[in-house]
Amino acid sequence: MRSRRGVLAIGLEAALAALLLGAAAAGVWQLNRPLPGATALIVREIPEGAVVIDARGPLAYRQGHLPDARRLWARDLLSFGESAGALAQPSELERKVRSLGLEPGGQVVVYDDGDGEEAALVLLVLRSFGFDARLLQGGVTAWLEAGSELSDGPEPQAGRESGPLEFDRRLIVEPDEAHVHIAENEVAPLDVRDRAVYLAGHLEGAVNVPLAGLIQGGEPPRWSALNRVLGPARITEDTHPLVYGENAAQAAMAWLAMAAYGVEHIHVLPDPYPVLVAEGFEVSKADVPAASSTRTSSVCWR
Amino acid sequence: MVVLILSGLVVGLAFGYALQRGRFCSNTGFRDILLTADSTMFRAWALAVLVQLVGVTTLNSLGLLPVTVPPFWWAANLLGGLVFGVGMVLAGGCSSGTCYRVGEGLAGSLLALIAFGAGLLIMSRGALAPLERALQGSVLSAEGESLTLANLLGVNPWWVVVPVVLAGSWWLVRSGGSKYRSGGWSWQRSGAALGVIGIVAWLSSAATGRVYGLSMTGPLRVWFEGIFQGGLALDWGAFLIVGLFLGAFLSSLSHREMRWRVPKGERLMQSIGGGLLMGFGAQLAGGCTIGHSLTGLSVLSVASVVTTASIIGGAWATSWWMFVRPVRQMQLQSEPFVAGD
Repeated sequence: MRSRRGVLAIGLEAALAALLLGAAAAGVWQLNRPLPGATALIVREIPEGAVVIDARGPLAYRQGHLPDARRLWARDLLSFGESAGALAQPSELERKVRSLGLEPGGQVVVYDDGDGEEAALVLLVLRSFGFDARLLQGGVTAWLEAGSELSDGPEPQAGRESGPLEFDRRLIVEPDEAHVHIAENEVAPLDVRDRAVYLAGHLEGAVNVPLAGLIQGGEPPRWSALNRVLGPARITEDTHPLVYGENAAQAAMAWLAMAAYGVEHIHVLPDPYPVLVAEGFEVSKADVPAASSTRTSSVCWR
Repeated sequence: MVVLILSGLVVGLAFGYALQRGRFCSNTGFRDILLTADSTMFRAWALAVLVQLVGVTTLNSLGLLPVTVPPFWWAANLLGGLVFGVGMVLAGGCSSGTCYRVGEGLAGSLLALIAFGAGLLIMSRGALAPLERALQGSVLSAEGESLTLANLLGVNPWWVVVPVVLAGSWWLVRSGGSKYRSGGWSWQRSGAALGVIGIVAWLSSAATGRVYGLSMTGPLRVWFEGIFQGGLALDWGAFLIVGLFLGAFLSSLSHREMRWRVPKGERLMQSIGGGLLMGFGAQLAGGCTIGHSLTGLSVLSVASVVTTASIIGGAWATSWWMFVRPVRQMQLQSEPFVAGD
C-alpha cells in the first residue's frame, strides 16, 4: 500500500501532466487559429449590399466579370513617365475613386484574377480614402471554382459621383514625411523586394522581408505564419512598419499581406526604390541582421 | 494572452519538478563521463534532446509550429561555451541544476545564481559589453537564415533528424548499466519527461510571440534587469523561471528533500566565481546548456552544436584540472621508489 506521501506525489505529477497538456493544447490552438486581421480585410463571400470592384484591365473585364462589378483598373492608379510605378497624385486618385460613386460608409469588395497583385493596390487606395474595402479571397479563380458564373454584361453605370474625399496620409506617406519618420526612428523600414536586389542597395536600416515569403503557399494566414514571416523584422505591437518595394503595386501587396496577418500601424511608401534614391534617401548595401530566422510551411492569404 | 503567458508558469512548474526529480544537471552529465566513466545523466540529456528533436521537427513539418534558430556567432559561441563550461564545474551545477538546487534549499546555488545574473548584466550592459558586441558582430548564415545542420548540407531537416535519432537510440539502448544512484527518477523517465516538456515549451511560448523553447539565459536576464534596472517585462520566459523554482520547491518538499544547506566559505566563493563565469559565457554564447544544448539542438542549430561542444570542452578541462590532476599527483607521490628502476 502506498504511503500518503507517495499518493501526494502521484497526485502532483498527474496535476502537472494535465496542466502541461492544457498548455500544449492552448498553444496549438493559438498558433493555428485564423488571424483576426484577415477577416477584417479579406472575405470569402460578397456581403449583401456591398459594391463589387473589378481591379483587372478592360480586356479581362470584357471577357467576364462578377455580376454588377464596377471597374477600377489598378494600372490607372499609377503614374507614368520618370516615376513609373509610383502612385498617381492624390488629386488624380480622388478623381478616379469619386467616379465610382461609392457611398461613404458602405462596404466595398475588390477582386482580381486571384493573385491579389492588382486588387491590393485598389484596396490600398480605397482604404486610404476611408472606405471599408475588403479583398475577395481567391478572386475570379475562386469564384469559378465555387461553381459561380461570370457575367459578360456591360459595366453598370455608377450614379452620381461621391462627394469630396479625404486622403489618409498616415497610410500612404510622402517621401518627405518618410524621411522624417526614419530619421527620428519612428518607423521600422521594411524592404519587400527580393533578397538579391536588397543586397545590391536599400534604404539605410531597412530589414529585408521579401514579398515572396509573405504570400507563397496555399494556406490561410495563421498566427504561426505571422511569427515566421515577420519575426526577423522584429515587429511588435508598438512597431510602425514603413513598407517600400520595387513599385507601388509591390508595396501594396506587402501591406495587404501584413495587414491580413494582423499587423497594425503600417505606413506604405509607394514610390519605387530608384525614385527614393533620387529623392536623396540614405542607402546602404549592408545586410541588416535579422533577429532570427525561421522555417515552417509557407502560408498565403489567397 | 494573459492565459498564454501564464502557461509559462505551468511549463516552468513541470520543468522544475522534472529537474528536481531527475536530479538533472548538464554539469553532472558532461563531467561524470570523464570523472567516473558514468554516462547516466548524459543519457537523460541525450534522450531529452532526441525526443524534442523528433517532436519539434514533426510539428514544424506539419506547419503547426514556427521555430527560431539561434544565430551562429562562431567566435562568441566558441569562447562563450568554453567559459560557461569552466564556470559550471566551479559552481557545481549548470544553470538549470543551480536553479532546481535553489528550490531544494542550497545556499551555494542561490549565490551562484545571483552571480550568474550579475555575469549576464556585466556582459550585456556592463564593462564587458564591447567584447560581446565585437564577438557577436560576425555572423555566419545561409542566405540570411541562421545556420542549421540541414541548410548547411542543403537537405530537408528529416535527412539529418532520422540518422541522428537512429544512432542516438541505438547508443541509448546499447549503453551499459547505471552507476549513478540519486534516489530520484531513472534517466529514461527524466529524459522522456524533459523532452516532452521541451516540446510543450515550444508550443506555448511561440503562441505568445516568443518563438523559442526552454531557455534560462534570456528569462533570467529579464529578471535581473528588472530587479536592478527597473521595468520588469513579465513575459512567458519570466513566468517560466518563477514556475521552475516553484516546481523544484514543490518536488523537494513533497519528497522530504527540502533542506537549507550552507556550504563552507571556500566552496561558497567557488560557487560565486563559477556563477559569474557562467553568466559571462551564457550571455556571450547567446544561451546555456538549456537554451543551446537542449532547445537549440532540437532545431539542429549549428550555433548550439558548437556551443555545446565548447561547454563540454570547458567542463572537461576544468574537471581534469580540479579533480583528476590532483589525484594523479597524489598517486605519483605515493608510488614507492624501487631501487634499480
